[in-house]
Amino acid sequence: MILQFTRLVQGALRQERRFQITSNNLSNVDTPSFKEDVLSFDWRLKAHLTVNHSQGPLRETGNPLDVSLADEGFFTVQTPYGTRYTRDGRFTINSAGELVTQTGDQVLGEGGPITIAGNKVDINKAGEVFVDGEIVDALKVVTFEDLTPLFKQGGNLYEYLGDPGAEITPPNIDVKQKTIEGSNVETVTEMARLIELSRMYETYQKMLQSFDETDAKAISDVGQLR
Amino acid sequence: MIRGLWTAASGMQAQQMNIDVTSNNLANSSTTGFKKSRANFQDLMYQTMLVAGPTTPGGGQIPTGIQVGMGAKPSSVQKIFTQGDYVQTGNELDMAIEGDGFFLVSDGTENLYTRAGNFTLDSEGFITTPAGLRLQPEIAIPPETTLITVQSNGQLTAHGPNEETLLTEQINVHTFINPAGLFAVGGNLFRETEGSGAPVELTPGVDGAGTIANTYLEMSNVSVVDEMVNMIVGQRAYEANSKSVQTADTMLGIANGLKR
Repeated sequence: MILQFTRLVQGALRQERRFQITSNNLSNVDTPSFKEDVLSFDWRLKAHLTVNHSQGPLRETGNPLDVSLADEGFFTVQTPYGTRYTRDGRFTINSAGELVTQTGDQVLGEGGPITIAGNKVDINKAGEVFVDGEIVDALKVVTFEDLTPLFKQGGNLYEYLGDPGAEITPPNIDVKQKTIEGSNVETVTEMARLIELSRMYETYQKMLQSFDETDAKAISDVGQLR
Repeated sequence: MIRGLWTAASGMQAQQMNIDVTSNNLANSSTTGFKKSRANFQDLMYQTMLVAGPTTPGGGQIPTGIQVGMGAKPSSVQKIFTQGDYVQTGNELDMAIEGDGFFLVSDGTENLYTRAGNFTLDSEGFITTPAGLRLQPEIAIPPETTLITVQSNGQLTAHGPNEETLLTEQINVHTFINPAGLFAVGGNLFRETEGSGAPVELTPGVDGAGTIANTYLEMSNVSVVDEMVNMIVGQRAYEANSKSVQTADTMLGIANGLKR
């Protein structure tokens, strides 16, 4: 019996790990462009974490520097640590007039950082940026054959850990100006998961207790001299 | 478990900030020239438990790693400079800017920028904001003036009792490359920062600068419906995260219950 304890403890620990993922998903239910993490276990009960890259809901904001992607792909961003990718297009302009993210990283166009010098910014479906009616550059929208090596970095950024030359231009680019993409976390699903895992955790605990009772019987009652 | 507890707490804190910003927007839904703010969120850092890429003892590669996120954080609170609605007041010193740009006013020590054009005259006849900041360049309206008109190109004319022109002055607007980078000092006033860039003084209607609509005021750009919806979303997200906190608590209680 004593050996059986490990499985139950592992089962409980699996629920804890599921809880960490679920609570992170829930805390980002309102984070634009956030993609939910999905934790699954294979037949050997080995954990696999995948990111659900499905489209989040688009919301109109009216702000000309809010850009979202209504189809596949990522915006390319230059950070101090190297190139990163994001779907969060809540851009602004820094004091040098460059298009940057909320954290100040340069948004890259086909020709490097995009300088906005003028008053009126228009961005079309293909991601071409017009300032006062003059085209200046096009947003560099890229994707990858395989999205699994895209690692979340925090700050709505992804790092690509695969072959650096794997960037491809998506066949369908649909850039929408004045909108932002919401989080694709389904609150109801996560809530259901929360209930399920906490009940499963309880089940493991009850099993641990009954195993403990059985062991106690075997040790103290069975061997008793009458 | 404890980590998940704090993850959920970070989500609650982010939503608190969201509600703070939303309630300030609602409080200013009828403030002249007010520009709404938006709280921006990002996911917090990730703790990597298993790195993708290394070779397994069997000779294969670990295809995907495991990263556990630590919650959400506010990244910035951004002013959104969309146009507010116009209201005709009939007051000859009311001005609204249609398009980009700000009025330049001064409190005597520093230059500040505003879109609230509800001007009035002080005791010396200068055009000032209701708080007493003089419009720049300073314009003194002669006491015998009976009518003041402002053209859409910013030309102000003071007319006398016999239809003669007593004074003409030019009111210019100042544009910024990134208005979202301006620092809000309260009282509808903004201060330039490195993030906003330097102001460009323009004649209204020239080079993309807005034109001036006399006898009109620009109202706040807060959409009450949007803010209400945002408040509902914020409250529900807050509630969802509080459920995570409760679950963490329950699970910790269960773990503690193992040892009787």
